[in-house]
Amino acid sequence: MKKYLFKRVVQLPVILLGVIIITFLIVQLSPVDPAVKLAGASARPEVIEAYRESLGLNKSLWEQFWNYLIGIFDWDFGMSFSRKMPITTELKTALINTVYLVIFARIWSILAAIPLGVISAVKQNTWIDKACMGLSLVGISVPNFWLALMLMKIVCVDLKLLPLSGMGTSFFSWNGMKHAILPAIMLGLPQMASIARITRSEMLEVLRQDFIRATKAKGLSKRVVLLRHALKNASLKLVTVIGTQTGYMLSGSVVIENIFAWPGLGRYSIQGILSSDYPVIQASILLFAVMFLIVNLIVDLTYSYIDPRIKY
Amino acid sequence: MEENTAYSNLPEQNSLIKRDSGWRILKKLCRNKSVIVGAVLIFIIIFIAIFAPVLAPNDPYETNAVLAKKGPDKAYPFGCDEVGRCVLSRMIYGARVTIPYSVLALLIAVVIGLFFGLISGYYSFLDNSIMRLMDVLMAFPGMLLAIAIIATLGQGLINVTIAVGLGTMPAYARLIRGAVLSLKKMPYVEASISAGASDFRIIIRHILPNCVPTIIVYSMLEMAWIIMSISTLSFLGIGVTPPIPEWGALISSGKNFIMSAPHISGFPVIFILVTVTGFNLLGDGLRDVLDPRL
Repeated sequence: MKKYLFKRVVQLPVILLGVIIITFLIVQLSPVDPAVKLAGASARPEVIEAYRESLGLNKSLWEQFWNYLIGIFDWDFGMSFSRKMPITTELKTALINTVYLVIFARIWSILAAIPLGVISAVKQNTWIDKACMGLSLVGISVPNFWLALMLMKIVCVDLKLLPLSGMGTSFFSWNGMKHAILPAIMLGLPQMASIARITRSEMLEVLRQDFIRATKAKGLSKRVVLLRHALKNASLKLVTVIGTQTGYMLSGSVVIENIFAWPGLGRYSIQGILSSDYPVIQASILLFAVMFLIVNLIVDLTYSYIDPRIKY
Repeated sequence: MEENTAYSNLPEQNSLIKRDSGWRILKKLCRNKSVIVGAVLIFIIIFIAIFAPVLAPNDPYETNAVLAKKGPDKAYPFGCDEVGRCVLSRMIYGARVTIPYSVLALLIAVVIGLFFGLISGYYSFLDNSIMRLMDVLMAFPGMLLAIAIIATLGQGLINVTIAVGLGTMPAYARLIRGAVLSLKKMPYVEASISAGASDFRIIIRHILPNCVPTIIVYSMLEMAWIIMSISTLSFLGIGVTPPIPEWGALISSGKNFIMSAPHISGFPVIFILVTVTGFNLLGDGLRDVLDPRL
């Protein structure tokens, strides 16, 4: 276990360095010259040259990479091409908004999916099971951007229950929550569907095993058999799935944030692409990857904590 | 579906499947409900794509200001979009965009992934470095690697296809590497090593053919994801340029009129739903029959 932890901790910076190199290459390989972009296409050559000087673009590639690397650890991601100012503060707000949304969506989707999966497994082949599984198949196959649009139309325009889009004043006030409900529901829905499906199949697998029969024979109540014995054994795979799904959730937030005008990292990155604002793209993609790495590390650690048999 | 999985997990069942002839596998496939339904759905979509000019009631590119946002009727079964183009015809022609480009993206992923996977699995001295590279690429969750590649290549349908393909590639490399690692220990591979066969021959003649079932199963499930990604990127506005009738772009063009004319974005969803469900069902069914270990 300790050896594994050590291996992970050593590996993480290597992968992180790789990620930083790739995001560095996004700008290097792109056809855009940052100095021209910042100075404006019609600027005089001296002005462009001055920008080049101040951005350090006339230095060698290695020096530029070194500056980029140092900048990241100072939380300095360069100047936005379109707004002509450092992107530090915008990025920080966007990051917090996305994390808030993802956590919100993650919590409700787990809380809904596991009971759904357990019920479907216990009542296998009844109408409850079929309805749940049918619904989850639809949840996977229907494009969630369209579902989001329809939900928006029904809930916000027809029924006028929730605000249409954007973000409230504060996260933890009722106003802020109201803005977050729909994006969080949409972000969590596909996740809920697939977690419910996997919970069901894992539970079915576990419920067939001998030790479950033994606990039943021992006269334990159904609740204890299900929750203490079956679900605990099924949870192993669930943790991995929830972890990787959280990664997809990060990428799903790109779509959902754009539909609901949620000022998070996903919206920020797409705005960056649409306006060829490379520092914005670079920084937001880097942050997404770092978040994903952190989630994966947590999953691995939880995994070995839940099942002490696992030795890496 | 689940019953089948549980059944095929029995060890004797497993070895039976491996010894099956092609004919018996085909018979097994025909008995699997998901395979049948999935294959039928995909067949319908491919049929629509091939016979688009015959099936489409109107010209998908012809605009008509009078017909803008018109609801469904006899001449225009699914109504007209915001500039008066027939929605159904655009959906039907959209199959000619989405399906071939998704297949192209899949091919990019399979070919490059296969290359890295085979090399990494077979030559253990390259394994570590290739897999760390894949780890780095897989650190970009879901579509974000594709978005990063689009940022570099620029927008447009072909760039999106390349980006989605490359974004899927690391998962293939890892999958195939795993398969190669277990195949390398098989007696017949060891036998051909001791018989003095060249590495190239062993990889191409003995390892590659045995990776094929895994690749096919995984590709069906991956196709669903690729179609969804290309549509999503078009929806976000960084994929297809108008007037190409890609399905995601069709939904995107209707999103501003979702209150006054929900049919513009509503009907194209049907095709995405059918195609994605088809590939998911086919993939699940094939997995149950061909590769119970996956």
